[in-house]
Formats: sequence, C-alpha cells, structure tokens
Amino acid sequence: MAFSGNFMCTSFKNELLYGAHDFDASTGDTFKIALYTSSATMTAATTAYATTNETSGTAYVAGGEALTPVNPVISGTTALTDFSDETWSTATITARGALIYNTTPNTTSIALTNPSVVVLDFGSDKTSTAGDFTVVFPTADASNAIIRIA
Amino acid sequence: MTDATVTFIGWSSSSQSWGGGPWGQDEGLPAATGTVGTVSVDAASDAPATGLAATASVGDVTVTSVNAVSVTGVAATGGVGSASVGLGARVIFSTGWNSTTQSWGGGPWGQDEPLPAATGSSGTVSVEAAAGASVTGLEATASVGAVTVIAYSSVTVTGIAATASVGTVSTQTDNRFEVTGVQATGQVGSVTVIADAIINVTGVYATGVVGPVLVYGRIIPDQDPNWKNIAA
Repeated sequence: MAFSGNFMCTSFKNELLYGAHDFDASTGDTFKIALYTSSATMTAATTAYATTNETSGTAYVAGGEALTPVNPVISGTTALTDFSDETWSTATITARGALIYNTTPNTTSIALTNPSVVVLDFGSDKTSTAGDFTVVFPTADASNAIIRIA
Repeated sequence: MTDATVTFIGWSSSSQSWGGGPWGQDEGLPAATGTVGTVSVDAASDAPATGLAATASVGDVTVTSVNAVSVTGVAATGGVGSASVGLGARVIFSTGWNSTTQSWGGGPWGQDEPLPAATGSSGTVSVEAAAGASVTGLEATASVGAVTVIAYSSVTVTGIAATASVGTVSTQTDNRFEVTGVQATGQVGSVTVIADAIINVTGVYATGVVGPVLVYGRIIPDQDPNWKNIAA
C-alpha cells in the first residue's frame, strides 16, 4: 500500500523537542513539498525526503517546491501553523501523495538531512495535463490546520 | 385442195404459257383456220339447172402436240405444335403421256390421268412440342379448425462481397436527423487537454501529553513510635 492516510511523522515530533524546526514565516527554515506516485510507501515512520517513486512530469522538478509558511499561532489550547497553497503551473503531473520536509533544519542538537514533517495522502492519483497542479491546504484553525499541536 | 396444218407445241398457246396450265384441266384449242388454195369445179354442161352441188374434201388434219411436264419436287410443310417435317426433294418426271398406264400419246386429250403414287421418306423428323398452360383465376376457399405449423429453417449465407469505386462525388445535403440511441465510435486526431488538479489536504495534529510528576519531601525525623491494641 502506497499511502494510507495523513501522518505527522514520528521523527518530526522528536525533532521538535530538539528544536530542529522553525516555522517562522520570515526567519524560519525552508520547507518543501515533494510529490510521489502511488508506488511510494510513506507512513508515520518516514523520516526524510527520498527520490524513490517521486513524481516526474512537465513543470515538476525533483525535490518539489518550496512552501510559503505562515507564522504559527495559538487557537485555544492548540498551536498551529499553515502554508500557502502550492501550484505547479502548466504541469503534466500524476501524483498520489506528498511529503513536506525541512531542507534547512537546525542540526545543533541532532543530525538531520531533509527531515520529514508530514505525509499527505491525496486519496487517489491526481493528474494535471498541461494545467495547474495545486495543493490546497486546509483552513488554518484549531480543527483543520495542516499542522496542529493540541 | 391444199392441206392445212396447225401445229401446237406443248401448252404454249395464246392463253397459256409453256408449262403454265394446271395438270388435268381442259384447255381449249385455238380455232384453226385454213384456206383453200384453188378449187376446181368441173361441171358438166348438162348440169341440172336446179342447183349446183359441190363436194369438197379437206385432206387430213394432223395435230401434233408435244407435251413435256416437269414437276420439280414436292415440298410439304406440316406443323404440329412446333414440329417441322421436312421431306427430301422428290422429283417426278413424267414425259408426255408415256407412263405406266398410258403409252406415249395413248391417252385421249382432255382426260384425267392419275399420276403414279409418289412415295417419299423423310430422313429425320424432329418434333418439338411446347406446352404452355395459362390458368387464370383459381379461387379456393377452405377453412381449417386448428393448424399447427412447425417450420424449420436453415439459411446459409455465404457472404456478399462488393467492390465499388467512386470517381468524384460532389454532395450537397441538408440533413436533419432525429436519432434516438446512437452509438458511435470516433477518432480524434489530436486532442489537447488542459486539466487542473486541485488537491485539498487535511491537516495533522499532535497531542502533547504531560506525564505525571512525583513530588516528595523530607519526613519529620522526630517521632514517638508507639502501638495500641486494636479493640476487639
């Protein structure tokens, strides 16, 4: 099974405690989103970006695209962060899921290379043909934000 | 006295051409005229005064007739349906009166004379009979109580191949079709599809859990240990 749902990677939780990820919109790390085919196997145990089974196609560059982070906020007892929607324009792409990972983690306390953050399951193959391939992130609130810590 | 001789040759006469007269039909002879050259009369002087008597005689009159009749075949055509009977050519020559029943010149003039029987044999007679019957108007009325018809049909179709070629066809049509239920297979040469893919993802969350803490302090060391019996 290639994808079986959305996961916050376990290693990411650990790395939070090491202070390896900074989601500040201006001074924070660089987070990317990479697309994968249905042949990829990604779960909560995924620890880092890999090129295996990464999507290829027109307007897609290996490694994916950099996300535009939104400053973390607190909603009630929940802390959350968000990204702007990501679009591959005039792209011919087929992808089954995605991986958000940090290309510039803080490695002061832990050795990391492109550590994974979350695994996203699209539910089925999504295809664009000479069109826009857009990943729309959910509403940034305590119940729907892409990354929440309650 | 001078003899007068009238000669008739065959049937050629003033009324019939040669061989033109039918067989066995009377034919009148032309009138014969004769002239008497010189008649000498010797009369005695003592001839009675009551008249003159003269006796004249005409010599013999000889009529010579040479008849030649040629019958050049008899053709008979009989039709039975579509049969043709052809007899070979039969030629009967009868020259003059010389025949089996009459010697030459032996028959009297103008008397019927039967021809000998003519017999012929036909080589091959082919008879083709074509029967054609035309029946117009047959009418029958019948009634049947109950009829059960069981029909077995075996149809073998061995294909039809047609080859047609059309040189140049120019058509101008104004067609309006109302079609219900049409299945068509079409091929499109080149198709450009611009499709957008929009993926709405759901967020992930982590729950922070704070573990229990153990809080302890020093115990009071000055104690007065004692015991008491438990009431029964």
